[in-house]
Amino acid sequence: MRNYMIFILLLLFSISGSQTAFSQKLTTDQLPGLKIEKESLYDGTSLYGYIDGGSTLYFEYGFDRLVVQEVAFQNEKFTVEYYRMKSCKGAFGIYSINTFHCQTADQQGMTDCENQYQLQLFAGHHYISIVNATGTSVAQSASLLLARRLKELLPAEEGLILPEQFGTSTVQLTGKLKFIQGELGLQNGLPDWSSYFEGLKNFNLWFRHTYTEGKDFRQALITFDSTGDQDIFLLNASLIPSGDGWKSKEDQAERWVVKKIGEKTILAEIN
Amino acid sequence: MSEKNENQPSGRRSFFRLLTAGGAGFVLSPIVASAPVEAAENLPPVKPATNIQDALKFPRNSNSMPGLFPGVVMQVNHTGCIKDKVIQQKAVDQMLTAAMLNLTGKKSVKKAWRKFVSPDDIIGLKVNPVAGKLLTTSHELVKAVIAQLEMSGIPRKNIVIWDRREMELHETGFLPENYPGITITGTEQKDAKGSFFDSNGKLYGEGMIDKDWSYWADVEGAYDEYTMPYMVNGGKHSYFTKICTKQVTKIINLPILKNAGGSITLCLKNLAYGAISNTGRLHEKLWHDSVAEVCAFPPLRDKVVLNIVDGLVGCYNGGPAANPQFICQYNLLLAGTDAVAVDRVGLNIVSQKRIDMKLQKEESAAASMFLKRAEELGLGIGDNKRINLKTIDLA
Repeated sequence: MRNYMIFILLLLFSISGSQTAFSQKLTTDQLPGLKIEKESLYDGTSLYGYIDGGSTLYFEYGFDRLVVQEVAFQNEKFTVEYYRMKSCKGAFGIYSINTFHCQTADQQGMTDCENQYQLQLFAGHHYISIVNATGTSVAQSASLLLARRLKELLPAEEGLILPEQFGTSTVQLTGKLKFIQGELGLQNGLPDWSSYFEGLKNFNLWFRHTYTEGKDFRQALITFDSTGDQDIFLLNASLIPSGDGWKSKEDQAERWVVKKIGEKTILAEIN
Repeated sequence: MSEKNENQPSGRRSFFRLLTAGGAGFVLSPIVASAPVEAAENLPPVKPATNIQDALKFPRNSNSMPGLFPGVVMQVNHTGCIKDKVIQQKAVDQMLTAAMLNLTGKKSVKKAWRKFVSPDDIIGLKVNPVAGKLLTTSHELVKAVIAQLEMSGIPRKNIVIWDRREMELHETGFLPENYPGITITGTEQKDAKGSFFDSNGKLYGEGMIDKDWSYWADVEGAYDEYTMPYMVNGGKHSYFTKICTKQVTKIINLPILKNAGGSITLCLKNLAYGAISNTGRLHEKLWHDSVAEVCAFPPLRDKVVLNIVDGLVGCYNGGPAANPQFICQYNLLLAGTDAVAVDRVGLNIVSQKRIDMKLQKEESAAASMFLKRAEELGLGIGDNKRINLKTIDLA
C-alpha cells in the first residue's frame, strides 16, 4: 500500500513537472491566427543538441530547460525560444549579455530589447528570444504581440533583487546593467575584464554602465569566492592600496576607486 | 590506432604540465618551491593530459597541414555580393574564382583546383550548419565550390557534404533535392521516424564512429540519456567519424566567419569539433588545446587540402550560435591551405569588428591560444608578421 502511494505521488509529481515544463509556451488558442509548426524541449545537458558549444554559456548561468517553437503568426514566421534558468539572476545574466544596441528597450513595462530581427525578454526565471525571418515592421509588431502574450503566460515568480548599490537608481535595466558569474559570461559580456578574473571561479559581478552629462561612469560590485581571489583580482587589475581601499596607478588611463564593502565583496567605481 | 589506456599521459605531456603549472620560474627558481601554500593554490589549474603524442608519431605526407601554401591567405572582398539581404550567386562565383587563381598562380579554374584534388578523390565538403538557417555555410558558396569541382573534372558522385549532425544539414537545406547526385551525411543521424536509435536500440551514430582513431583526454564525458545521441559516447575517448577516416580522401573546409566569445570558431574549430564524438567534455578545460590537437591527427591533418571561409555573412558576438543582432555582412571570402594562417586573419577581422562595435578595446591574449598550440604542432603559421595576406577587391 505504501509503495502504491509513493507511485501515485511520483506520478502526480511527474505530471505536474511536465505541465510546468510545457505550460509556459504559446498554444494556438492564445492569439488569433497563431500556428505552432514545430516544438522541441531540451533539458539537462541535452542543450548541447540544440546549440552545441554555445550551450556552455547557459550551463554557466544555471540552465534548467528550453522550449523551442517554430511559429506562424500574421503571415510571418518566428522562432521562439524559452530558456528557463534555475534562478532569476541567471535568467537576467543571460539576458544582460545577449542584448546589445537595442532599437527599443524596456517598453510597456517589460524588460526587453527589440531589434530588427529579434526581440529578447527577461521575466522571472526566463530569458526569451523571438526571432523573425523578415525584419519587416509587420514582423516586429507581431513579435511584440507574441512577447506580451508570453509575459502574461509566465508564472508569477520572485523579481530580480538588485544589489542595494544599484537598486534604487537603475530605472532601465537593459543595456545598463550586466550580471556575470563565470569566465564565459565575461568573454561574452565584458571581454576586456577577462584578464582581471583569470583563474577565478564562483564570483558574482554586477556591472553598471551609465553615460551622463558627457561622461562615462561604470560601477562594479564583485563578490569573490575567497579573500585570496579578491587579492588576485586587485593584482590583475593593477590596483594599489589607498586609504581604506584601493585605486588605480597614476599612469593608468582609467581611474578606479575601490572600496571594500563586505568580507569578500568590493565596489569599484571607474571614470 | 589502438585504444589507449584511460589513464596514460605521455612523459612529454607530464613535463609540459609541470611547466605550465608554475611557468618557467617554477622549474628554475628554488625560492618558488618554498612559497606559501596559498600561492600554490593560486597557480593556474593543470591542464588535463591528452594523447597528442600518438598523433605526432604518424609521418607527414605531401597533403599534410599546412598544405601547399603555408602562411598564404587570400582575402577577396566584394561590395556587391549581397543585395537586399540576398547573397548573389554570380558574385560568389567570381570571388571564389579570384581566390583560387590567385592562391595557386594558375590561369584556369581547372588547373587551380587540380592542384588539390583529382577525379579519383572522394571529396568531403565540411560545412557548418550548427547555428541553423540564420547562419549556416551559405548555399551560394557550396554551390560555387561544387560547380568549380565539376569544371575541374570531379564527378558529383565523388562529392560529399558532411558535418557532425545530419539533421542540422537537412534543417539548413542541405537536402538531396537541392544537391542531386551528391552525398549528404553526418555522424549523428536520425531515421525517418525521428529516432536516433535503430531497431536494436543502438545509436546510428555508433555505427559512424571509428574506434581505431581516438582523441583521448583525461576528462570524463558523462551525459544523460537525452544528451548521449548528440555525443555518441561518453568516457575519455572522442572517436573520429568514419566520414573522415574511411569515406573521403580529401577535405575542403567551409566554415563561417563567427566569433566564439572573444575568440573565433573558424577553420580549426569547424574541423576538430565536427570530426569527433564526445565533445561536450572538452569545452571547459581543453577548448584551445583540443581545437588544435584534434587537427593534428592524420584523418584531418593529411586530408584537409583547402580552407575557404564563408565571410559573406557572419557574426561578431553571440557565436557560435546565431543571435540576429550580432549577425553582419563581412562581404568577403578567405582562402588558403594553411588553416592556422586563415584562422589568424579571421581572428583579426572579427576582433576589429568587436572593437569597432565597442564590445572590447583590444584582442585578448587568450583569444589566440589555440593558434599558438596549432603552430607548436606544426599545423601552420599563426603569427601575423609571418603571414602573407593578399587582398583582392571586387565590385
